[in-house]
Amino acid sequence: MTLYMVQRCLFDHLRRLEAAGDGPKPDIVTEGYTLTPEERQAVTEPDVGAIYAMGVHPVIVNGFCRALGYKRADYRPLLEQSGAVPARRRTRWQKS
Amino acid sequence: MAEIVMAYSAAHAPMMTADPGSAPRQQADNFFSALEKVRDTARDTGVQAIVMMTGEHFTNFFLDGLPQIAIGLDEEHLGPPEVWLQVPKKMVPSDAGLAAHITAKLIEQGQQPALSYGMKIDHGFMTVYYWLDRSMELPMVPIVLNCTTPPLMTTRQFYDFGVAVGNAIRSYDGLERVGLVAGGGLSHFVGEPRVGDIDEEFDRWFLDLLAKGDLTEILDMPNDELAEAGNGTGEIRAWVALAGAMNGAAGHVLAYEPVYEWINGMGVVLYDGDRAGTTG
Repeated sequence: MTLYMVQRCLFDHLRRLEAAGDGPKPDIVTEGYTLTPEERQAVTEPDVGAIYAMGVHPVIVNGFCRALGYKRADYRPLLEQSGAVPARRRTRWQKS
Repeated sequence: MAEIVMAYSAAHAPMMTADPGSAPRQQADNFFSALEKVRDTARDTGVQAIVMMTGEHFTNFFLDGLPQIAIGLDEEHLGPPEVWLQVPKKMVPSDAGLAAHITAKLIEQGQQPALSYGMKIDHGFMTVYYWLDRSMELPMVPIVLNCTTPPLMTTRQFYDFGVAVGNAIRSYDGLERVGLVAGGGLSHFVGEPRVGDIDEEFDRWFLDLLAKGDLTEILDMPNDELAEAGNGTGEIRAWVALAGAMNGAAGHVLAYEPVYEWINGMGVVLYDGDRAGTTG
């Protein structure tokens, strides 16, 4: 329902994983978070591209991908194909 | 009154301690040699405590309450929370008197840092600090900065914050020799489509500004332009604040290596201490 709820859900999941240490990894919990069906699907499926595209903070995206065991080469294409790649703009330090 | 006897800025990529051997040997040697030079400087100047500024990574705060700046006020702080960092977990001593003094003096100068007890010191601190003092006994006052969650303070605001930090340290009469450290940057992209990229042009341009002691161009830069260099690159706000604390003095660029295996532009810039500045 709100981007914050999605981010809270993912953040709390990452904290639970951290607390579990080397023990069994808990599944993501969506009860208690006000999520739309699309948001719930994105976090449980999981769909990293959709999570990124809805505006989840990149630090959370990064942590979630790491928790899923993705290497950079695994999840970069998912983000590139998310449909939410920002346009590049020229900057003052660019010489080329 | 305290002097800032040494000041430096360094990148804090987790891989520098978690898996240092993953970088090309020459690059790692160059970067770590610079940190060893800094360590020698700390020893030679007899630093009694450091104040360290770095970006917040949702280790201490989340979106339900995220200060732009927060100061750890305890006698000691636990770090690092990341078990994979290959840095021993330890209660790192602080100097609570210095932390309280800095906080009070910042407020007097118009800054509004948040107060934090129970602050954890994550890789943002511990990677660089562990290279400075393997015993982890050197007292460290931690300051976390919001560098990644908009709306962000501008680089100019962080420069002014740094000036105030410098004034605060120099007005403390509980110590004689204090070090100032900034951790973070240089360019890196995290959790976004350009993850793994390094903007070498930005890094070299920024280091050149620091070496000249003229930050005008970056202090006038809008936040959205800086973000083009990477969403993690905003951590150079700590470097800008440190430059402010050193009153815009020129820094010595000890190393720069774009280490793609660590997904980070890795740099170290060292500044002369106050005494060098006053004696010419």
